[in-house]
Amino acid sequence: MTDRSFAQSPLAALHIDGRVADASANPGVRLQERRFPDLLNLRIAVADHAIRQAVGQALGGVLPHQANTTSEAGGVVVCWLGPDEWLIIAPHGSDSLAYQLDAAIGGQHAALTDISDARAVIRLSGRHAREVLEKGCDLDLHAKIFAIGDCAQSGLAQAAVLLRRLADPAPDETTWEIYVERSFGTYLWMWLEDAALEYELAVEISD
Amino acid sequence: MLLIPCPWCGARAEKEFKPGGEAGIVRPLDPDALDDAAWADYLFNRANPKGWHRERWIHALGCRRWFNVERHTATHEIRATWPMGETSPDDVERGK
Amino acid sequence: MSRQRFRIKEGGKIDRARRVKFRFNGWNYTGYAGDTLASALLANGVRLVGRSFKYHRPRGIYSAGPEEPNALVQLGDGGQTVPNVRATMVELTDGLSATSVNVWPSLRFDLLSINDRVSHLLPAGFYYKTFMSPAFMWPTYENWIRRSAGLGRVPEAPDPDRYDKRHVHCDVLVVGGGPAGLMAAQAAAQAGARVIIADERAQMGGQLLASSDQIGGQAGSDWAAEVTSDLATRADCEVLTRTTAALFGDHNFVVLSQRVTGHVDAPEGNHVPRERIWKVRARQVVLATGATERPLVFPDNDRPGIMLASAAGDYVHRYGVRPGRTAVVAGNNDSIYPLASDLRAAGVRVVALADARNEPSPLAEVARADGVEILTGHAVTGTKGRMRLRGVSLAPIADDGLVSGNSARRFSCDLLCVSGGFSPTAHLLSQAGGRLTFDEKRGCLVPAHIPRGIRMAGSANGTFELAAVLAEGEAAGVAAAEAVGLTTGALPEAVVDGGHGPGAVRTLWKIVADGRKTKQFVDLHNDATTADIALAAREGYRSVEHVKRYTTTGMGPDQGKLGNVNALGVLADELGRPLNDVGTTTFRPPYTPVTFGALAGRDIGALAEPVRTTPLHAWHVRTGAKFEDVGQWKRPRYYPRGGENMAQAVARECRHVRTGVGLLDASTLGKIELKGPDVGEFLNRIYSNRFDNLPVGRCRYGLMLGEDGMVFDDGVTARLAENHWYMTTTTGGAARVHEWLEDWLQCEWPDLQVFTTSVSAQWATVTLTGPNARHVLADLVEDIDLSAEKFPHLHVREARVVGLPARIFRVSFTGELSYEINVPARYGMALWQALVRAGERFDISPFGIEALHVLRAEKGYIVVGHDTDATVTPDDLGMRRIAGDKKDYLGRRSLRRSDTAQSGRRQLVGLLPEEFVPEGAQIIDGKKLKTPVPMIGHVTSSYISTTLERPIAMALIEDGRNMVGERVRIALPFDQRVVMAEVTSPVFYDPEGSRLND
Repeated sequence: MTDRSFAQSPLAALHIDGRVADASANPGVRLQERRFPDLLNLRIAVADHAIRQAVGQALGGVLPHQANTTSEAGGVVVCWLGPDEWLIIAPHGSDSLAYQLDAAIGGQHAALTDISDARAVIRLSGRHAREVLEKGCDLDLHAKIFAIGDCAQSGLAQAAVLLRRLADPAPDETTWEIYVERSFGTYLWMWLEDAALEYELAVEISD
Repeated sequence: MLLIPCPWCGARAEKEFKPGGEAGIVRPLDPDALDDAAWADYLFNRANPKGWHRERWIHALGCRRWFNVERHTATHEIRATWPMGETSPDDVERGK
Repeated sequence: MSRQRFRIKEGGKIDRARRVKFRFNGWNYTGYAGDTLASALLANGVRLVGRSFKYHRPRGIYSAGPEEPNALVQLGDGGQTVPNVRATMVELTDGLSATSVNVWPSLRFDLLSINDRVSHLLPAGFYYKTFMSPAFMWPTYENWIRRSAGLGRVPEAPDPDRYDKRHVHCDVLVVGGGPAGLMAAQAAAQAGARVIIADERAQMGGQLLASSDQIGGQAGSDWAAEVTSDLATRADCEVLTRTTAALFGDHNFVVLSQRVTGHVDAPEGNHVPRERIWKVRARQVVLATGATERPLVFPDNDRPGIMLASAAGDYVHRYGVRPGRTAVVAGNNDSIYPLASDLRAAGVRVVALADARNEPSPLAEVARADGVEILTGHAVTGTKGRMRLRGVSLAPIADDGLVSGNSARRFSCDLLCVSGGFSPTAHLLSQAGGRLTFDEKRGCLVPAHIPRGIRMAGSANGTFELAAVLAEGEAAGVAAAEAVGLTTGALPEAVVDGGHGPGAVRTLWKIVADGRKTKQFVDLHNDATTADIALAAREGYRSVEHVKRYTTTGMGPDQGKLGNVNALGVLADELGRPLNDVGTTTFRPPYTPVTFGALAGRDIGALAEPVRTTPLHAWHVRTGAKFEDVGQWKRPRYYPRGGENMAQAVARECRHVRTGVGLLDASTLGKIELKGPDVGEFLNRIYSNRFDNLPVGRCRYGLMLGEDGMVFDDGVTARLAENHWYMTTTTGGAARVHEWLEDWLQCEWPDLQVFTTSVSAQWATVTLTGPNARHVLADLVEDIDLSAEKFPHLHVREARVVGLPARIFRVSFTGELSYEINVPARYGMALWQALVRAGERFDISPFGIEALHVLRAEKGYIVVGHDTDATVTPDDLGMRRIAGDKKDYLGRRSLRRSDTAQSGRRQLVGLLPEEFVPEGAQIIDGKKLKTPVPMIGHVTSSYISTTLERPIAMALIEDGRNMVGERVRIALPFDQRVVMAEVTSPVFYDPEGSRLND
């Protein structure tokens, strides 16, 4: 099997971990690269309830059918991307998941595609995390509108992103994961850093 | 900038979408049966009204679904949006 | 340090404990924190602040707000300088430095004031008439006009400040923080709405800050402060001061421009932006934008010392400044009476009050008791004084504006306060698609059509009495909250003292004075006069939009804030039609100018445009590659070794590929996975050539056409398994092609069982190419046989390369034996480095896209979008064989349309030019270069071929395939000469294709 030491994360060239020491003492925003999650893109026809159910079971829950929401079971998160499309986010090394899903699909018409290398994943959190996003994103990110567990595809700065809200780390803080096409990763990280400067920034060691 | 209600994702800013022109233009099943004028009509000629207009949009930065929009070309008011392949709410009402 | 001679001893909203030093036109002055530049200048007795736009007449501060037409200044120095800022809106800060714009060489001695003396030569539209001929003189004229009419200067150094943007959503956006806006915001916030209230001033309160009106037993300004602090403490309420609503877009999208720093109370921090653009999407909008007082139009109504009556009140109340020593007050409505009293209380001697109305106002008693001489039925008929006002004439006025007889009385004064009534500030409403109508009784344009989701409140709605303004504000806030589904309650009732509105207004568009040549300015900012509008009417202009452009009334940065309604009135009189028949012009965004810095935000410098990089980018940088921008991608153009220049490096890289082995980063290619039982049929319809018969393990080149038959994209598609396909697209076409596929699948052929997924970024793609490619790869690959028999051209294999999971395609864009090796992007660098190491003994070299272009051009391979544009069919490219007629596909029917099937179309050919020619050069018919030159084609690609050791080119030429062997002329118009070239086949190298099949 290939060695993780050969692997380079999308933001490797930024040497993020070397900059952790520069963090402000009281940062309003924290930035972190989430490296090497397993990402599977799944497509099942809108009307194909049988496969949806089988795949949902294999995932230990159900596929979210409500637009722009996620479901989570056993550390695997499924994001709704479209009426016939989902993103499955699993911890690194969940190789057996793909086999289970393939088995659930059982040769019927569906598309399960590994896109683990196609996205850079940036985690943004802190008191001013939402304001940083609002500098470049048209979505309504108000806590009541964009709830914990919601996701949405949209634009952030000049890149297309999938945005996902995670649990609040503290009462006045929010946490977000940003999925962006790998080639835009460096640009978007630099943009986020620049947008966050006003609130004091801390770069955290990669996950 | 318009606020376009995607039938799936809800109201989103116009910059997430791309327009696809007049809705309901069906590709002829047998293009060879058409003379040049009829083919050009399918290819190029569009209604372009001042008023209500049914058109296609894709939620390009969102769910990547094409859908139908009924928009007033002068005021930009959007009366309805509905998924591709479904009947417009208006036509449902009128029993079309 | 000069004394502030015109500062009132006490009062005003300024902070007298904080003195502020500033410079204006090189002189030092002192003001207070809370002053504007305008109020501080007035406090120091500075009356002359600028020269007018066209005639260079001396001008003074005319207003106290964003409508200021005269006091435009250049603010600051160096990269931070901002031109054309209204002195009335600039908050005074220590060290502030400003200069007048549009003066040459100096404010007091302006050479171009000659324009005023020769103004009969400069009527409306003069530049359309005067400067038409001779045409060659136009640059000279233009230079003179630009200097003469210029406004400020642009900064020449980079702006060191930061600018920011923010997108926000709310239930209710309230524009304007005066009494109506505050009430609306309060009502909506109390109902639980998410509220944003914005006001362009430093403090909320609007007109309450400039009057002695009382609400609920306290000063109006105190009431405003109380409401504001209550709003600011609410969680879902944003109070934005120093924030101008600049643009009202579709569907309640409003752009606000906020001045974050650059004032006394600016927040601290290194990276705080100077300005922030707020892009607000509001479910409901309340426009409580107030009203703008109208000037009076009379002879010489522009002298320094003439000022809007409300502005004079503003300077007294808000800034504790006396705008003059001796004043005359003139107007056509009730608002001038309380002003006369206020001026007296501030120590200004008010020598006369001229009310154009014949009926005495009920408010007159107080002023009369204060000893002000009141002249009803009178208007200003002339003024004296050049650098500053010295006196005015008042005379009785008949109904038609005619001065009756010789009865004018003259008053010496240095201040003339004028009020021509109030115009609701309807710029945003107009931008939103609302319409106005003229209301005779109120003497102003009031909202007639208000689009859905917008409410007007207060004087913006033509409601001027304070009690009614408050009630209307509350009602608007309640209605807006209810419209978004919230339940509202009543606010405590506010008892009002003062705040009478203007009452009945006598509209009087201009004064018809004696025969003297005087100017009556309608638009002070653009120097447009009643005579200009009369001329336009005489010359046959009827449409108000045409008159606007012809006379420039209401154009430019001013957008008719002061002059618009008077201009309409004057035009209506000239045309003898009611004002409502004349119509109104549309106000354009922005309401007031927005800086370029704010508009650009952080989309500047390195972030101006996304820079897309491949997984191998760091290696290219380390190796010293020179990059080229390909769309948003950074791609290595060439890798110079030692002291090589580009030509040398590219030639060497080409030699490596042709004679040894080279390595290319091809990761930018678009890649799409297609899955499902109907992919073969789908590709048959999408590509011009057939795909359903492609065996598993094979790949094929395909051409995609638009329905119009024109080449749209190309690429290689492989069949990895029975129902699993893999499509590559051009780098630039990746997103476009994916959308194109989904368009047809979702909209036209939903019955086809096909799923597409973009995997462009999933795979790092490395092209190993050259006669030694097989030897390099052989050392690294496991599981498969690389021999030409077992792994021939146009086949695909899954294998492990240095232990990495890889998909290897035998496709070639160089004409040499090639392997396109794909590994998951995280391993791209590992693969590349392994190939570099393994290739060392074959003297492997990375090559960039410049060499790639030379190599592919030698083979006659096209690049879609480079050798094609949107007018090229497969036949034009000589690819008829893969655009047959056996099956239907997108664009096929169009290939039989008369214009696509006709002979004589431009066809792709090769050229052997006698020297290198630039791409885009025209191929001409005939010898002469004198225009018009018949053009029969153009060069699409042009390179120096290392292999052929000569320049080669590709071109589209009319009927080109029939011209092979002929010589054509390529025009180099800038060199005034032609280059000869021989027409050939576009395939210059290895036409049999033996090398790539090796």
